[in-house]
Amino acid sequence: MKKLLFAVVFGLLLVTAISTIALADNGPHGGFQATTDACASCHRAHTAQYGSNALLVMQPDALCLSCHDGTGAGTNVEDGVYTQAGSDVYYGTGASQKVEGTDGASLFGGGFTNALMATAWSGKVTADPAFNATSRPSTSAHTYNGTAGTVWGSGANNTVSALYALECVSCHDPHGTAGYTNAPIAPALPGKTCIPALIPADPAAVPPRPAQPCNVKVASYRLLRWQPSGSTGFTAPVTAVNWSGGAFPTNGTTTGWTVPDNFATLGTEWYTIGTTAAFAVGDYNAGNANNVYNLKNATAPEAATYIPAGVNTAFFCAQCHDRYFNNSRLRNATDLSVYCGSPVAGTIVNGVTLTQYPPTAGGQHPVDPGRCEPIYTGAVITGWGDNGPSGDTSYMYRHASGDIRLSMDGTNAAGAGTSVSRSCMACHTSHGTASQMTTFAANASLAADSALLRMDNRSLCLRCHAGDVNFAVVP
Amino acid sequence: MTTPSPENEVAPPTEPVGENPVTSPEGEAIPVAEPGAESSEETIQLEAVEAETRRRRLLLILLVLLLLLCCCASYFIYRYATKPEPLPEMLPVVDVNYPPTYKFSIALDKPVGVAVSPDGQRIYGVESEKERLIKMFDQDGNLLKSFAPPFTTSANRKPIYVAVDSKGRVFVSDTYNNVIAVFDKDGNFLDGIISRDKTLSDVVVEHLGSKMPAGTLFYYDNANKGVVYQLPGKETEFIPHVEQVDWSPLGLRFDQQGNLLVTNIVAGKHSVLIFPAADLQGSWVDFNPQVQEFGEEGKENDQLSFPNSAVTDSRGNYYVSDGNNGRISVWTPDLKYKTFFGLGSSDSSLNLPRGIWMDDQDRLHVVDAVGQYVRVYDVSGEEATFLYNFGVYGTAEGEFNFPNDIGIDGTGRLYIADRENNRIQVWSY
Repeated sequence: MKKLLFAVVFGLLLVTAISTIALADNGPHGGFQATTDACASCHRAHTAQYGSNALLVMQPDALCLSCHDGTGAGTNVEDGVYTQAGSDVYYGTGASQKVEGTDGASLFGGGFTNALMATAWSGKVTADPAFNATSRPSTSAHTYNGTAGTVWGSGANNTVSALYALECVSCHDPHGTAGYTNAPIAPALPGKTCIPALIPADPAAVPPRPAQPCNVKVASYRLLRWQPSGSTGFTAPVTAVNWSGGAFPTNGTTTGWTVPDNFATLGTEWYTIGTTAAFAVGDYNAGNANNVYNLKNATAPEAATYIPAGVNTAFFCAQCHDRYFNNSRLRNATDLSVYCGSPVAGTIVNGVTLTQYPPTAGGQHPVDPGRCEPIYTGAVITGWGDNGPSGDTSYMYRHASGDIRLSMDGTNAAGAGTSVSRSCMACHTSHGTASQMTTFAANASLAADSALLRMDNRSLCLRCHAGDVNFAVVP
Repeated sequence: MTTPSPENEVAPPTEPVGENPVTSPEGEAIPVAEPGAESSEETIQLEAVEAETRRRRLLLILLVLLLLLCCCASYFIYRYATKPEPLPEMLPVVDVNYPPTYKFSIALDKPVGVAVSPDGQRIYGVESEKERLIKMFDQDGNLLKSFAPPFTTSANRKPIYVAVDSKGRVFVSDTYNNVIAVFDKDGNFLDGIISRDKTLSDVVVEHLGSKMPAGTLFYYDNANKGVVYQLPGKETEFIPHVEQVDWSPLGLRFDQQGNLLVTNIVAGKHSVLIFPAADLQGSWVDFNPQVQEFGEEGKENDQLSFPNSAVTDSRGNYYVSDGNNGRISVWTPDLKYKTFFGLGSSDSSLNLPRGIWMDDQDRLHVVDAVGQYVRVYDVSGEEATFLYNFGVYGTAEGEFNFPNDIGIDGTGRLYIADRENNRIQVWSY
C-alpha cells in the first residue's frame, strides 16, 4: 500500500513537473534598443543592419519606401504620385495652375515603378487644365536600391562611363539640407546678393508662417544633397574649364568646386529647379513663358516664388554626369582670356588676369555673340553654354543648360525670343519616366532606352524647337 | 426424578445440536451447529473475503490511475521533447500570456495588408508589388483566387489594407484611387466607397438616371478625377468631375459591433472615421452614413500622423496606430483623447507602428515595421501593460523584414504581412 501511494504521488509530481517545464518555455523576452524617439525611427546604435557609419536600422531603400509608398508620406515615389490631398507646392500660373501636391497629381520627378505622365506629342503638360496623364510602368529610372547602374556622361573625356550603385540617400538628405526649417542664419556675406522677401507669409500653413527675411535658409528642393553621395563634386576637367572667378570659388580641395550661392556661407547652398525668381523650369509649350513649372505658395502673388532663386539643379546632376560639363563653353575657345561670364575685376585664373565685361542691362554678357553663350543672370552663373567641341568622342557637343536665350520664334537669332530657363529637369525626370521610345529614338541614346526623358521619342525637342523645323510633325 | 450423576451426565455436545435434533433417515443424529458458533466463523471468513476483495479492487483502481498518470506523463515528455511549444489543443487558447510560435508562410509579392474571414477559413493578402493583387488562400495557405478592382492595372491601383466584415465581404483600401473597394467573399467586385458619403454605385445611378443593369462594371479613376463604367455589352464610359472631398482612406478594421474604422490621411486632417454598421447594410445607392470622426494631423498628444490602423477594446475605447508619431493613441468611446503609449526609450517602445489587432483578451498586437517585430500589450486595465514581443529582423522562418499588418482568427492563429520577405507568416498561440 505504501508502495502504491508512493507511486501515485510520484506520478503526480512527475506530471506537475513536466507541465511546469512546458509552461516555462517560450516565455517573454526583450531586446536592447538604444532609442531616442525620432532618431530611432531610422538609426540603431548597436543593432544597425546597414552602413558602418550611418548605423541605419535597415537598408535605406526599404526603410525609405516603408513611408514613401504612400503609407507614411504624401510622396509616393514608387508610383510618382502624391497620395495625400492638400499641399502648398504649385506649378503653373493663373487658370492653368496645377498643384503638384494635389492628391493624385504626378510628382515632378516621376516614379521608380510607375509614372503618371502625359508623354505623347499631343499630351498636355500638368499646368494645363486638360492635363491627361496616364499611369504606366516606368521605362527607365535611376536605381535606388543599391543596384549598380551606368552613370551616362560621367568621367573624363573618352573614358567608359562609370557604374555606380545609387540609393535614396545618395541624392537626398533625410535630415534636411542647409536646414530644413526656416531657421535664421548669419547675415548675408559682404558682396553677396540677397534676394529679398521671396518667401511670403502663408497664413494657411500649419502653424501659420510669417514672411521670411532674405537671410533665411530654406529647404533644398526635395531635400537634395549639396553633393551626391559618391560623386567628387565638380571635377575640373583635363582641358581647363574656367568658371568666372569670384562667382565660383573652390571648395578648398583639389577635386571639387562649390557652386555659388546667393546669401549664405559656403556649404549651405541649396538647389532649386528654378534659376530666377520668375521661372523654374521651362515647360513643354514653346513660346508660352507663363506656362511654366513655377513653384509658388498657394496664397502668394503669382509673381512671387516660394523657393527663391538658388542654384540650378543642373549643377546637381552634373556632379555625377560630369562629362556634360567638361570643357563647357564658359570661355572663348580661341582666346583664353575672354570669359563669357563676368568675373570680378582683377581675378586671376591659371595665371591669366581676366578681363571684366560689364553685363548688359538685360543681364546678358554677349562679349562675342559668335563665340559665347550668355549663361548667367545677374551676378550668378546659372548654367553653361555649349557651342564648342568638348574633345570627347561621344559627348562632343552638349545641349546647353541654364538661362538660355534661345530663339523661340524660329528666327535663330541669338537673344531673340523668350528666355526660358532650363535645367536637366526640364527634359528629364529624376526618378523614372513612362515615356515610350520607338524606332530611331529607341536607340538614339547611349542608354538605348527612354533615358529618363519626359516625353515620347523626341517630342521634347519640338516643344522648344518646333519653329526651327519646317515640316509637319507626326507623333 | 433421577439426580444426574456423573455417570448420568450427558456429555457436552461435540457438534452443534439444535433444539430439535435432526436425525438422518437411518436415525443417526445429524449434528447441528449452534447458531452463534457457526455464524461467527463464517462471518469472519466472509468478512475476510470481502475485505480482501475490497483491497484488491482498490488496488486495481489505484493501479489503473497510476497507469493513466504514467501515460499522461509520457505524452507530455514526448510532446515537449519533440516540439517545445505550447500545446494548443490541450491548453486553453490565448488564455495565458506567452508569445505565439511560428507555423508556416504563404508566398506573395511584398504583402502590406492581411485579413482573415470570421470563420477563419479564408486568408486575404494584399500585394504591393508586381501585379498588386488581392489574393485569397485557404487555411493551409493554398491559393484560391486572385482579384483586383475593375478597370485597373498594376500601374494605377495601390491596395494596402484589407478587412473582412461579418458577412465575409472584403474591404480593401486602394490608396492610388482613394477608394475602399468592396468584394464578396469570393473576390467578386461589389462597389466602392469614394467619399464619406458617396459610393461608385451612387455616382453611376445618378448619372444613368435609372437603376444600374446587373453586370455593370465601374470604378474610380483618380488621375482623371472621374468614374469609369461599362454597361453590359457596351463601351466604356467616363463620368468626369467626380471629386473626393477630404478623403484619403488608408487603414481598415471592423470593431466588435461591425462598425468600419477607417484611418484617413488627408493633409492636415489625419483622423479616424467611423462608419456605422447599419449604414453598411443594404443598398449602397443613396449612401448616407452617419460618419463620426476624431483626430487631426500633428505631433501633439491628441493629434495623429499617418495613422495606419484603428481598433477597439471590449469597453469601446479606440486604439490608433499613430505611425509617424511612433505610438499608440487611445481615445474614449465618446471620441475624446485619452492617452498614448509606446513612445520613448524602453524595451516596450515603438518605432513605426503599422497594423494593429485586438484579441478577445483585450491584448493589443502592434506590428512595428521598423522594429521588425510584433509587440503585445495588455490593455484590459486603465493603463497598457507591455507583455512581450515576438519576431526579430531576418529572412529565415519566423523572422521579419518590414512587417506591416496583422490579423488574428478565433482559434488563436496570427497572420503577419511580412513585406520585404514576400510572405504572410502564420503563427499560433
